[in-house]
Amino acid sequence: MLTRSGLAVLTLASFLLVAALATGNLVVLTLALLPLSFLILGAAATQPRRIHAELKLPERAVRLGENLLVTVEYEVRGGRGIVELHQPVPGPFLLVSGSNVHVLSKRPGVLRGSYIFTVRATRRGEHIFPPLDWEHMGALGLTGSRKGNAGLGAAMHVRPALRVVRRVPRTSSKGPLMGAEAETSPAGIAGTEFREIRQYQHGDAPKTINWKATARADRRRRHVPTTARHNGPPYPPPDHLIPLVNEYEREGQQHSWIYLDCGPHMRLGTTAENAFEAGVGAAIAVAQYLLARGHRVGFTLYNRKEPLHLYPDVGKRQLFVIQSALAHAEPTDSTGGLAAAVLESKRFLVGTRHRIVVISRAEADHPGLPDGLRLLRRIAGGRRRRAGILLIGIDPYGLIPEAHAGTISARLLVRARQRARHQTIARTGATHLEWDPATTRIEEILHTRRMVQ
Amino acid sequence: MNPKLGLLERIALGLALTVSLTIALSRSPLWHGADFIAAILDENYATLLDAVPGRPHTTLAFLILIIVIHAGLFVPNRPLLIPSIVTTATLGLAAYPWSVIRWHQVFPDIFGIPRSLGPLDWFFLALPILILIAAAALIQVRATLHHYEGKGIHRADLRPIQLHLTREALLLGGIALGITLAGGILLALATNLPTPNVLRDNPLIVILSAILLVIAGIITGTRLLARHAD
Repeated sequence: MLTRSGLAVLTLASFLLVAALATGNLVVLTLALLPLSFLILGAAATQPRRIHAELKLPERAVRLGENLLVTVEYEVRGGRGIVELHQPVPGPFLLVSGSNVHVLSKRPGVLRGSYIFTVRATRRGEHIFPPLDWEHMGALGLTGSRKGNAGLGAAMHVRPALRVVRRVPRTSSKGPLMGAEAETSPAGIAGTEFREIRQYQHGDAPKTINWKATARADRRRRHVPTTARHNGPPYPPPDHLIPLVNEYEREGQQHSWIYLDCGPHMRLGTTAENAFEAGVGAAIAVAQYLLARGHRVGFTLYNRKEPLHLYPDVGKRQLFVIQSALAHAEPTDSTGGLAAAVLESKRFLVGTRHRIVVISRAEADHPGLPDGLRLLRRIAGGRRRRAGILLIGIDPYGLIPEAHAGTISARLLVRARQRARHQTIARTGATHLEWDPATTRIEEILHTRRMVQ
Repeated sequence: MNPKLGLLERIALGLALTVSLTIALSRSPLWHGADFIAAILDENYATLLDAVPGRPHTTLAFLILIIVIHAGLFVPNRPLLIPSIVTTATLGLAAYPWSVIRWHQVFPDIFGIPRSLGPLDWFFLALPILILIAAAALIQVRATLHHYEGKGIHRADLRPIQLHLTREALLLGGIALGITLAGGILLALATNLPTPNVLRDNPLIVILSAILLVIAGIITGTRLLARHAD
């Protein structure tokens, strides 16, 4: 229907028409044709016949915190006026550069084009980009706008961020050292799981040389096409040729287990940044560190309706399995406790020396954590030795947007109140590492070894 | 970018509209023999009517129009409504001598001597309508740009759209003028056709015209045609 401006022009035309009819005045009747024809020309044949759009996202999976380029290709057939294209972006994505709103002026004919903008993923999981919204407005806005959707949308899977941890501090355990960097298994038995192709080093067995990969690398180095016949002088001697060898994952002698808390107390924070998201990042960072050093790493998600246990394994495949499990994990309302999860994973812990990493909120008011730590110490440590247990206590209060000064004071009071609980945890024999994800990265806190006394 | 008219813009629009309507009115043959206006006014006011030599009653018309139009331009949300009414009334009065229905025979005190229209007469009669259409188009173009600016699109990115809308308005205005000219020619040719006298000076036509007037007023007043106006 008509907009205000269209109504204004119609009103003028109507007044002149009525005046012409009232006075039988052909001159005024002719003048009435001016606004009337202007209105009809401005309102007629302006709607596009068809609007088509296609959303293009990166084909590879994106990790948390990464930027991704979004391309929207459009085609508008027929009509004229102004077309607004709006590609909705899911809430967990932040617009980094460009704009997801594009306005173009449409003339008669076909109009094709594309526009690009960059967004950043702030939350892991599966996200759906809805179909494109479009709105068409007539050339001079004499008629109302028309809206619709185009395209099918797309799904984007955001994986947890992958962080590289270089050191894990030693614990206060009097038993075997906690420091995993001192217990890397370089001389362990080579397994059957392929790890990577690397350059030959002194000591590698000749049977591990990958001759095909070596030949391909040599051809690339000298820019020789594979199908060309060589009729010229002989090739130069391969004085810089270094063979490439296959490397397989080594069966680590060290065993580690990571427990990640999924309880309701891990929701503290915002939708994008909370204790659980920080815990996911920490779990992946620690798993990556341990697996890179040949450890056999197992994983448990506890405080769920059914705790999730991942069988201990080595290498990048295990890291991928852990990441896949965490990609869809969310905090739950269950508070089954750490002890129940430890009992379910007992068969993996008994008999071998494990270093344990528990990621939770140390100051949360639930009794399960100290009990679980004591049980872990008893099961994983055994009679004669004490297990190395590292508790990464997440302090999520820094993730809450500080609305006023009272919020800061409340945080200090909460911390002061939790000192007694920290002492309880310390008596379990676990090494407690307090971590504020708002101010410190997990790599830094593990490197500087700040522990709660 | 304010979509509505600013103070200076309203003043400029009012002046342009007033001047064009005054010229159209002063060129009308309506004033020939309109001494009755001077006769009903006091002598002091009667001198105002002859302020501009050769242009009967121009000053009075100018004063009335400039007051009414400027008052109408400051009506909130509908700045063009009263100027549209005033324009219609003024053009109707100026073009009265060319009416088929002789109201002066219905109301004997009103009379006029018709004369043929020249191109300049057509121009001054059409000019106020062109000014009003241009004002409506300007308001809408600015509202459109303001709408997209509010969505975070920079003014520099809107410049191509602004040029496109301006070109579109000029193009449509030119085509509308052409249609009007063609319509005028057709109507002029039509009036040369022999017409039965029953269509002239017939009170029945007066009554029918009055009924149409009332119906048109009802339709416009109840906004039946602008149900979804924003």
